[in-house]
Amino acid sequence: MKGDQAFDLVHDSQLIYREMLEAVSRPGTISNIKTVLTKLPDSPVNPGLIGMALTILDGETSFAVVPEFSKLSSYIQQKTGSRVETLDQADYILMHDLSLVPSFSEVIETIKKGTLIDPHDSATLLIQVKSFSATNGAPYILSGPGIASESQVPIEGLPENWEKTRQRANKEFPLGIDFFFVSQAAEILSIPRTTRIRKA
Amino acid sequence: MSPESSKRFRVSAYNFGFLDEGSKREIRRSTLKAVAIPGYQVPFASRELPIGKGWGTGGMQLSLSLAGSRDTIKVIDQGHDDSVNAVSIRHLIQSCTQVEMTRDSQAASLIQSRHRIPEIPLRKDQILILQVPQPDPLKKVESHEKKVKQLHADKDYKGMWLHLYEDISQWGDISISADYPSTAHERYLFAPSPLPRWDVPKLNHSEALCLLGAGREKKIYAIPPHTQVTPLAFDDVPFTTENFGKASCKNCGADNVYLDEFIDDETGQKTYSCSDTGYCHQRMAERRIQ
Repeated sequence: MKGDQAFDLVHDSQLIYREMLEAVSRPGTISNIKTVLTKLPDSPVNPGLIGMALTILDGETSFAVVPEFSKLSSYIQQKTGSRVETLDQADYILMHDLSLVPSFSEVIETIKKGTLIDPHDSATLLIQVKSFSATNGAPYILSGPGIASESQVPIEGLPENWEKTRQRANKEFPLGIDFFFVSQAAEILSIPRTTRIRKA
Repeated sequence: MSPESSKRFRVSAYNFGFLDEGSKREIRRSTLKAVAIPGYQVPFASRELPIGKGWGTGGMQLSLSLAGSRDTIKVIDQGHDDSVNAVSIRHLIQSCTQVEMTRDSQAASLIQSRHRIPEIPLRKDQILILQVPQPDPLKKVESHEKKVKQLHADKDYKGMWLHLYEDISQWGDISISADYPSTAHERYLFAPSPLPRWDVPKLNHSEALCLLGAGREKKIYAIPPHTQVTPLAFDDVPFTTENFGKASCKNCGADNVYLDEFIDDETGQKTYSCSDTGYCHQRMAERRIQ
């Protein structure tokens, strides 16, 4: 495959979707969507984050960018037709730089968790992190659906105690929020609401 | 060109995978949520396809939203590769994706099936897609969608328990032979599509992801891999699978598989053969080689 190819909305989306599906089916498994890295030269943030957004967002969905970054919001709006929504209403939350988010827990508390009637009407977070590198990342132990017994993943670039904040948001299953993390190398990893996390 | 061929379905007029990208995205979003909430039925728009709703359109929409050039697909109808439904669906998927098709369950990356799970255990690199006629077991006891959603919200499944109890008191046993009501991740009651009881335990802590699509009822739900699936049962009336006794397949000799029963009209004699024809053919081919 040539590196200078443009992002193909049909076939690249299909590949990214399958990696996202694999990731959410097996929490903690690292899949990759590296093919997008060279295909989105005009991307205002890491192409991995944009690749996921292009795969699932369109005019039927809403999103919020945290922290605010108008270049990214207008890029997503133009490319997908998805509309910007307030944090408490948005279907998808794009977090492109966690170091600039003043309060991660406030974001998590605000976003929608679904209702008992419609638990799927909850926010999905697409979050840019540094890496899933074993040397730099903080190791977490995951268990729950999709995991045979336990799996261990290192994630670099998440705020202190983020897993406790998440746990509070997910305390009333089936209500909750689902995470997709993407590393700078365009690897992806998902932690849906059913996963239990503890620090290794 | 014959008069019929000019009226034929022109596949070149359609997008890869027949569905437009907006439809695929909507199915994909619903599928991702379905995996995140095991057994919960996510509503989706359910597009029109060139086959009627109720003929596997839920499964087809899942397959078409999943399929890519790297896939190999197998289509099963009640265990068979070559019944009309399987052949038509296979033909449609193949013609609008040019994806490789197979009858060998082990060679397939996607397996769309109506009412059976292949005999050979699925692997983690495979996805099972089940066609579902009635996704909600509670519809047996409550017909209003709004009330059924409330029952699921409250995890109020006593109507189903009572239904099973009445079955036992009337017939001495639970008479549900297929589509046996089960719970996923100890939370949602779900319909495992009309799988025979035989196949239900295969969903429990499966290696493969299982996606279920109901096109007419517009629902998608999922059983992720390594997820607890528990058929409803009482302490004193446990869940049991079909028992074929000492019967074995008349073609390949397999026992300990799900068998179809045939009765000879004249002699009344019963014979059995594998319901999973792909598996049966493979066994026969192996025997010929030996």
